[in-house]
Amino acid sequence: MMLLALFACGDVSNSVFEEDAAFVAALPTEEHHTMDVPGSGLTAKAELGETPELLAVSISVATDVNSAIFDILGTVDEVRALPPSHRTANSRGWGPYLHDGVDVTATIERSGAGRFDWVFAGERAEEAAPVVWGTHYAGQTVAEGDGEFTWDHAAWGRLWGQDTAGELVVDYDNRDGVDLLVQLAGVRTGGTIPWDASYAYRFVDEAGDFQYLTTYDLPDDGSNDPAAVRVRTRWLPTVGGRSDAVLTGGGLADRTMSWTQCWGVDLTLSYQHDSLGVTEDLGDPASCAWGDFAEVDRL
Amino acid sequence: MSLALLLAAAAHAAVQRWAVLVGNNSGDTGTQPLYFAELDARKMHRILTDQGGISEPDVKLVLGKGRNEVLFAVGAVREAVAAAKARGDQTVVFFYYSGHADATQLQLGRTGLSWEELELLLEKTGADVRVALVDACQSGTITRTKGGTLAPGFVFDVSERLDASGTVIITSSTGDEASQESDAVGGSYFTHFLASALTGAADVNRDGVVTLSETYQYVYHKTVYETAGTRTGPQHPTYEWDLSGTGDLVMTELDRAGSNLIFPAANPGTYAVFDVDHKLFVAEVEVTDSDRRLALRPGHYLVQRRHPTYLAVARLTVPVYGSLTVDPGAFSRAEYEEDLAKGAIDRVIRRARLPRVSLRVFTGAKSFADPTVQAAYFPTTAAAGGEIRFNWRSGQWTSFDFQGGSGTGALAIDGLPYAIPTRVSTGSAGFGIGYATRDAPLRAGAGLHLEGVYLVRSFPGQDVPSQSISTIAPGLAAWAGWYPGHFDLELQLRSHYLPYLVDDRDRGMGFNELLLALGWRF
Repeated sequence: MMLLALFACGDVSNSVFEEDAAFVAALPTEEHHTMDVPGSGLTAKAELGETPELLAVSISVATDVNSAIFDILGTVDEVRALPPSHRTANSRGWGPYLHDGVDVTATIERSGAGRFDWVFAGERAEEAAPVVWGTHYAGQTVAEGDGEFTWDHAAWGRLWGQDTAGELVVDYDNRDGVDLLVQLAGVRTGGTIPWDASYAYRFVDEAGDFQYLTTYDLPDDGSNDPAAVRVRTRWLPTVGGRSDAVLTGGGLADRTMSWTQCWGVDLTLSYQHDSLGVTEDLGDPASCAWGDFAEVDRL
Repeated sequence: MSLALLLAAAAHAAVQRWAVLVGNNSGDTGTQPLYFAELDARKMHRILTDQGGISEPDVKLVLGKGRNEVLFAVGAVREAVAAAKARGDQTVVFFYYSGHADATQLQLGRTGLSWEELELLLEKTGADVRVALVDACQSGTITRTKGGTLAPGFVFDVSERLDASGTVIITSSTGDEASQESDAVGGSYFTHFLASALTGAADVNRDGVVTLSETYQYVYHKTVYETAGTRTGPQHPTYEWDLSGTGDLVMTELDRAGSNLIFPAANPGTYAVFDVDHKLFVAEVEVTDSDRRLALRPGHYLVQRRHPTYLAVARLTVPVYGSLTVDPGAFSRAEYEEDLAKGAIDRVIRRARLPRVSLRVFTGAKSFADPTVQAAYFPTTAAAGGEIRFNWRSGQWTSFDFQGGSGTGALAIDGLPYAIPTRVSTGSAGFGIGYATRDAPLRAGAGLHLEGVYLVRSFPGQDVPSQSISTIAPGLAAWAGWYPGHFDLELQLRSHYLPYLVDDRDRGMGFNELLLALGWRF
């Protein structure tokens, strides 16, 4: 066999296509770049055995953020489904291909030890601009890395003829679970109020932690102004979860209210308490997955 | 002219003769092909047309054919006999067979003609006299079943007309003996001495004609004597006589050939006569106390007299319509290694030993065995090509083949959600060697196959250049098929190992070829 092998020659290899896969792995994915808070479409009700309000709000917020990210992933996935149209040793390129009347090109360049810089740009009439771009650093595998990407919502609107503004930036670290820091700056579509917000999401070692800032109109607080709320929701999928919120303003005036809700694995309220007695104390604190009150610490 | 009646003489035109001469080197399944059976039939054809008084159109020479062709030839003779008898002529039919046989039948290749059928066929010719000369193993079966016994000789009265009617059968061996071929005489012993007898060696009474009884006596004694020392053992010709009336039958007339070779009694000994022009021994004659005459075609001959350590050889030219006396001074000494006759016979043997050649075209598919390789490197391709195969007498086969093919597919690469469109083209040349089952309508073979392979894959629509492999792939080949005659239909399976590491990993690059072949055997 060894002798026969001497007669063998050729250049058959799939390395060029495996490299395609490596380049594509540097792009964000739904698996690694969206938030997965347990439960969906739940209707909150402050009673034992019902869905806690803070969990329902967390789900709703996560869904809103995800929808923005899905807009980005939709563009990325369109390229992911196509073979590159040109290749070099350290780059792959797609397009231009037509997407809703816009010529889109995508480029991924590799440099250094696993650094991938990528950009999706659009061109339409006189308008040409990058729309989504990012930098990814490979970890143990290319897909399991860290980096950040930016979505220029204003450029998106100019190219596709929509009244949009703002920017969405996602910092992520996929090397050990999913860790996201999502920041929206002046994101607006049509006549809506520009959206400035930050969200921190982590799901590591089967434990979830979602932190965000929002507003909430407390019922029966004597005011129609919503309170500012800093919410931290943590959960263990096999045990249950706990949301801790700090509310200020609104009907609370200069007071600060600490509000805790816990739930079981069935996502129903098992404990509730707030520091001002605005809400009804319910359940047993021993039912909580965590015993301590945890404030937002990443935003 | 002797007492014998020359049935074929022109003066007796009212006696008509026909002959059916059958030779077949091939027997049924499991028999080794003979070297000289068809040559022996040709030899008989020559003698019967030269000296036997049978015109060329009246001889049906059936060589290497099967049962149907023999039946057709006998049928043609039967019609001719019927026409002659309608004219009031007397008729004689000779049937000669040289080939394989067993206790039940003549083996005409893969077809057969039973002894009973042969007798019936002869009888149905309707000829007044039917003479069968059968040179085949166990041919004595036909005489034994009729109660025939070994006979050292027999004598018939002869008359000036054809008084006898009926059937005479002479066989080369008894019902349980083999009939042997001899490289030394370039034919079977029986036919060698039969030819010698009819050429003149059996004309013991020097009357210029060779009768049936002279023929039998000569052939019997010479065959038994010459085969006694062989490894197979002595071979005893037999006869079956079922003639009514009296008389002997003239087989050949020495004057009819027009040219004669005279061996003077002054130089006694045993001489072998080899026809240089036609590369065959035509006679062997023993000269004792009187001159001996052989009837020969004009031409060039070697006359050999064998001595223990050397040959005495004379090169002679037999004139047209004349006699040539063998001059002792014409002989020169020659070593056995220089024996031209043996060289010619050896060439016949070598030709007979050549393998049976078959050509076939095939189509099918070439597919890598490992599903991973199929999915990610080389999709299955169509294949088509040709093959020449040599089937040797030993059962061994060798083959040379070539093929080409192409196919398209889509490569599945880990991590990519889409497939890479691919076209694969192949070209190869192979050599196979192995063993096959015995020659039969259903046959199979297996062996080794070495294939030089060239594989190219391209990627339509991709900016990736074509890639190729060229290598030598060892493997196994097996085939089985249906071989009813010259055409054959065959299924072939080949499996090869392709010694090539793809992407530095052993991908199990074995490939299989499944082929349907249509062939023609020469």
